[in-house]
Order: sequence, then C-alpha cells, then structure tokens
Amino acid sequence: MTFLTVQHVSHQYFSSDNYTKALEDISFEVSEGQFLSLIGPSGCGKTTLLSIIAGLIHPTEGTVLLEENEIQKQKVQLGYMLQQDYLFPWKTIKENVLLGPHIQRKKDVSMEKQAEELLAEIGIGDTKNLYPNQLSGGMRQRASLARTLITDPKILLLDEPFSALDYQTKLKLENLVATILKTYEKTAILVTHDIEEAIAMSDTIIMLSASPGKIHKIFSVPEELQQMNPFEARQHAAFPSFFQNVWKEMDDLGQ
Amino acid sequence: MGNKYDELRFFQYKQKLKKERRFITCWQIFIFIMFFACWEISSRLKWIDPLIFSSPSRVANLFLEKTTDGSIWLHIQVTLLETVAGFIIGTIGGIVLAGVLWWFPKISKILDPYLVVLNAMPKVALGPIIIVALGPGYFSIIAMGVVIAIIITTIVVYSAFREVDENYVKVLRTFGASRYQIFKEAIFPASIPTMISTFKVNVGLAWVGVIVGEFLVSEKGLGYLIIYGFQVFDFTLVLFSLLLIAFFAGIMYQVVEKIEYKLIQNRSSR
Repeated sequence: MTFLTVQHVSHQYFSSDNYTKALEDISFEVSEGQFLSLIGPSGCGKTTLLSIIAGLIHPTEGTVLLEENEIQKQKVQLGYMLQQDYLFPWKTIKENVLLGPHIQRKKDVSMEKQAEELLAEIGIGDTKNLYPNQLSGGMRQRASLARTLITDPKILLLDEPFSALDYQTKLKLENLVATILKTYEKTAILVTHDIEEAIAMSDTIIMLSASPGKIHKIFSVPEELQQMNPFEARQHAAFPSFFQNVWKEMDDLGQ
Repeated sequence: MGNKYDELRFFQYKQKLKKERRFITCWQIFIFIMFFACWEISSRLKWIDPLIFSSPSRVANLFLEKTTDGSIWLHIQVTLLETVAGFIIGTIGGIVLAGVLWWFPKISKILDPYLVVLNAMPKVALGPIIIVALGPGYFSIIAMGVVIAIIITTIVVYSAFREVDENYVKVLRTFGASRYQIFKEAIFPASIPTMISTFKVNVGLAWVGVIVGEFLVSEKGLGYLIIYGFQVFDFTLVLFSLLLIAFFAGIMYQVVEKIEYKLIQNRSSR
C-alpha cells in the first residue's frame, strides 16, 4: 500500500505585477518506512513542495494523500525540521522539545519523562534545563530533532536540516537521524542540495528541474547503500559511481 | 587553574578596569559640581540675571522651605501618579491595539493611513479638546499622557509583531497551533525586547503629556508649579520644579531599565 501519494501538484506564486510557477505537475509515491530525497538546483521549488506535503500551503492544483486521505482535511501528525533549528530562545531545551505536546494540550508527566529520555537518547540529556543560546549548532539541531520526534509523527519532513552545520557535525547528525528513523520505522522526505547527503541517506532520490519545478528524474539508490548507515555508505565502493551518475544529470540541468 | 603569572595578569586587568571606572565616576561628579558651582557663581556675580536664572542656593532654600512645610509632596505625588498612570495605560493600550491589528490584518490595512496621520500629528494640540471633553482634572491630564504614548507604541509594537521570523510560526503550525497559540507562543514573546524599548520611550512621552496637561489646566503638580512660577515671575520655583522633574524622570527610566535587564537575561540574540 502506498503511504503518501502526491498527485499532479502544481503551485503558483502571485505578486501584484507578476506570477511565477513554482511547481508543475508533480506526482510521486512514497511507501511506508521509505526515505526519499528531493534534490535539484536552487529555485526548483523543493521547499514549496515540502510545505505542500506538510499541509502548510494549499497547492493551486493537485492533491496530497496520506494513507488514502487528503492531507489538508485531516489532523495528521507531521514532523517538520527546518534548515535552522528555530528553537525558541526564551524556552529551555526541555520546554522547546515539549512544544508540540504543549500546543496539542497533551503535556503531562509521562510526556515530560519521554522528552528527557529522548534527549538522553540523542546524546544531549544534560542540556534539558539550558537555553538554546548556551548550546552549539549541532546540539541545537539535535534538540530540534527531539522536538520533531516527540509528537510521534507519521512522516518526517526534513528541509535541509544539516546544511547550516560544519562537516563533522553534519556527518554525525546524518547518522543519528538515519538510525533513529530506522529504529522507529519512520517515513521521511529530505530536501537537500547536497547530492552526497541524498545518496548516503535515502532509498529513492527525486531530482527536480527549475522554473517551473518539474520531476526531472527518479533515481533508485543501489540496494547495498540503502542498507548501510550514511557514514558507511559514503565509504562504500558503489558510492562514487552512483554519485557520478547523479552529478552528471544535475550538471546537465544546470546548462 | 593558571600559573602565578596568569593570576597576576588577571589581577592587573581587574585593577585597570577599576581604575577606569573610578576615572569615569570622578568626571561625572566633577561635571555635576562644576555645573552648580558655575551657576551659583555667575548668578552671584551677576553674569547672568539672577531674577531669571535664580541660583542653586535659592533653589536649595526653596527646597528646604517646601519640604519642611510639606507642601511639595502633594505636587510630586499628583504628577508622579498622573505620569505613571499615563505611562502604563498608554503602553498597555498600545500593545493591546497592536495585538488587535495583528489579529485582524484587514483592519490594519484599512487603518494604516489613519495611523500615519495620527502619529504625525502633534498630540499636545489635542490638549484643549481633551480638557473640554473630559473636564479639567486628573482624567484629562492622564489622557494627555496616554494619547502621546499610545499611537507610537501601537505602530512600533505592531511592526515588531510582523517582523517575527515566519519560521517560528511555521514550527508552531506544523504542530497544528491555533492563531491564539501562535500569538502567545511566538509573536508576543519574540517581541518583548521591542516592547521594552518602547517602555523607555514612553517614560519620556508620558512626562511630556502630563506636564503639558498640567500647564493647561491643573491646580496641582510640578507642571502647575512651573506655569505658576512663570506667571508670578518666580523662576526659582520654575527651576526647582524642573530639577524635581529631571530627578523623578531619571528614576523612572532607571526602573524601566532594571525591568528590561530582568526580562531579557535569558535571551541574548541568536
């Protein structure tokens, strides 16, 4: 059974003297537990597409179905991780993690305990009473991950969550996210401009072309790379050749 | 821990800081004394007209006189009460109005030109109308303070509400937050620094409104003393009231600064 279906989605942005077509006729399917990446040149509408899937923007045409139901008509739990952590600076890390339950009025003692366990699991258990500005970029993005996971979302939408981090932190976080997604059997969609990251993390890669954003090509990541964690995958012999493959496609798009 | 030399250098550094602080304080005290000394001397030697500019000793005598017979306290009390009331109502009212504008974006678009005009207009010109409408008394004087502070507060706070990073709202919306929750969790707390800076401006504005209001109608208060002193040509009284106003306005400002420090301890910028 397909888990998430994107059907003929198009989206236009309007301004007073112009309009731009951000997306045109996007259709694809994601099955449960799959990790999908969206890559493409800047301005191909990656983030717009993610916002549509999240139900934050209504597409001008087309529908998004999650388990056969239209996404905008139901209160589905989606986890959305942004490029920067966007932790609320006036809340402690624990309060930040508990933001979702707080908004949904589900905050109670067991939730608080769960938040602490989750923070411990991703390696920042002792920061729970600190404020975001006391943490490093990597730790903050971890806290942001915990905030996304605590509501137990059916699907995780990752909008370049690693792009603002230094290389080493980025590799570590990629591994952490991949492991956690695998453990909890979560479905995820990652938006990135980093081909290596897309290959290392995902099962399927959708490449979009720009203005308007259209599906250019769909890649299936080699089976052996899918099984590995991102760090191992980057070292694997199959990695460079597949990278070349994707890179060439991307390069052709740029012409 | 560092070695002996590190400790020594740290000690020297602290000494240097202390010295600099002492230097600055000395100059501040020096300027203060020099100002009053020059004023006193030039008045006694008739370099300036003592009838107009009075002198510190006369002001001090008046101070003693007014405090021993207790008549000054009523005036101070009245003016302070009016100013604090004007400040609080103007600031809170402005924030509430800004919240209303944020809640109903259409209304804010419609009202935009009116706000601009209201803001540009010198509010003290409304004085006579306010006094006729509310009657001469505390209410119209407080209203003067409020009118001066409220429009600019509304405009500044509303634009702060709108400048809150959309992504905080996005985070909340992914959790299914209502509009009220978005306001309470992101918009309002993110704008607290701006609101506090309007506090500081409003302290000054409330004083302007209240003093002008007292010029126009009152029978009590420091503004009244100034206008009374002016009418009977007692400039010692005028300067005395002026110094009191400067003193209390300074204190109010300090209090607001303390509040600011308390409120934004935890949120140095990202």
